[in-house]
Amino acid sequence: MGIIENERAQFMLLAGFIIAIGLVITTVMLNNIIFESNMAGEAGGDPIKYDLVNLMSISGDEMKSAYRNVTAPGQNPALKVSNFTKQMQNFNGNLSLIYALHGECVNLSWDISNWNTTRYANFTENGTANGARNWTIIENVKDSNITVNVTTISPPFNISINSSTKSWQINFTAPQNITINSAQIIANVSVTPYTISFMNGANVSGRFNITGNTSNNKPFIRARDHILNTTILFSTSDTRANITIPVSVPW
Amino acid sequence: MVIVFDEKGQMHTLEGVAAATIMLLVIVYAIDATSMTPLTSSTANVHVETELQVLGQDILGSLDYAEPGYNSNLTNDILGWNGKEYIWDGTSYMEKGNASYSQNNLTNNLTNSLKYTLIKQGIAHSVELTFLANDGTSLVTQKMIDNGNPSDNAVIVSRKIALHNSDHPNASNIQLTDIDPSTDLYNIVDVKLILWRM
Repeated sequence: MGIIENERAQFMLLAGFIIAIGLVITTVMLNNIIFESNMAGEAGGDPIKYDLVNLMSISGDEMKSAYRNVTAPGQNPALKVSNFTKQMQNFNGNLSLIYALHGECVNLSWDISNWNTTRYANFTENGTANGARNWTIIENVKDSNITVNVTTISPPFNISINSSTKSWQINFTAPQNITINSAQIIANVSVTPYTISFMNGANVSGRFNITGNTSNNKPFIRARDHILNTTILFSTSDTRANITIPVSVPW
Repeated sequence: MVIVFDEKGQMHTLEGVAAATIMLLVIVYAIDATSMTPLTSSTANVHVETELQVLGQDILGSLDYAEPGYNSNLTNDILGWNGKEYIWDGTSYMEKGNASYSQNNLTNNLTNSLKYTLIKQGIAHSVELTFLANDGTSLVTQKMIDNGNPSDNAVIVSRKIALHNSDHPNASNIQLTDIDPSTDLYNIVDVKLILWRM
């Protein structure tokens, strides 16, 4: 029997082997690409958002602080706007230096037209006309004094004070300035703690100031005169943001 | 010229390709088998860094919350800080170079939070404060907590805080001064939390 020297079968086996190995490599590499892009790429947070949130927070807080300082008892009312502007300008200049350390450019501007024209805030949650109409100012109150100065109103609007047993509705129908002390509240709701809420706050504008203590004896203050606006210009090498936020003053 | 029909060269080429493929597979397997630590530079390391960053931001964010009429816990910690440097000794943040007296240890909201988060997870950390010098143009950096040099893969998270005269900052910290005596603004502090895996 003669041996036929034919290497074609060997070629075919080898070619098949190489194709199979190639498929395995391709599959493994593709799998790695998909895995890593999901794991590391998508997990990467954007640190800029933290800087922006922090910037919005301290800018608003500084505006509140400047307003409280210039409207505090004993301050010259004639200088309130100039003193407010001075503090904000100094804050803006110094803030820019701090942010420059991170390669970020920051510039603040502010709009106090509502203050200059004595346009008071709505009694909504965020103080603007389209904010939440019905909202709870504070819960678990032990004692409180409420001062409300309503300047414009389109009824209905009421302050709702609710304890576990009773509800007291203080209705407003016309502009008025009222003060409600803790004894009056207890007489109407019987027990503490109680919750203070504004109902239909979009129908009214004015000022309010509520101070007191919570049921765990922690003093609190909730007050609003105006809504001022601050515009934050924030830019880095690859990000630029121009944000205007409403700021409730004094708190 | 005579053309020689010989399939040996083709065969050798194919064998070479097959051998190269097998070697490539061995290399890929060997790399995959190598141990990956959190400090090994890779896409997984990016994931670890992101986790540290989110953790650090959460710590500073939770400490910096304040309700109307109050300073945040973080602000109170900066206001009360005496300007000295502290190190973690395994049980407390003791004053650097003056560890004999336990009353000199740093205990505030920040250290309490760090104990319950970073210390428990074995994450090394330092806290640095950068603020403006009273010349109004240069910046000063002071360490509040120093636990050595961070690794190359350290993460820095920061929080800016405005201090006011009415908050009565600790006069013992002679470097943190009033940059604006004409208004209530005292200084602006950049609180930096540096985190890294050992």
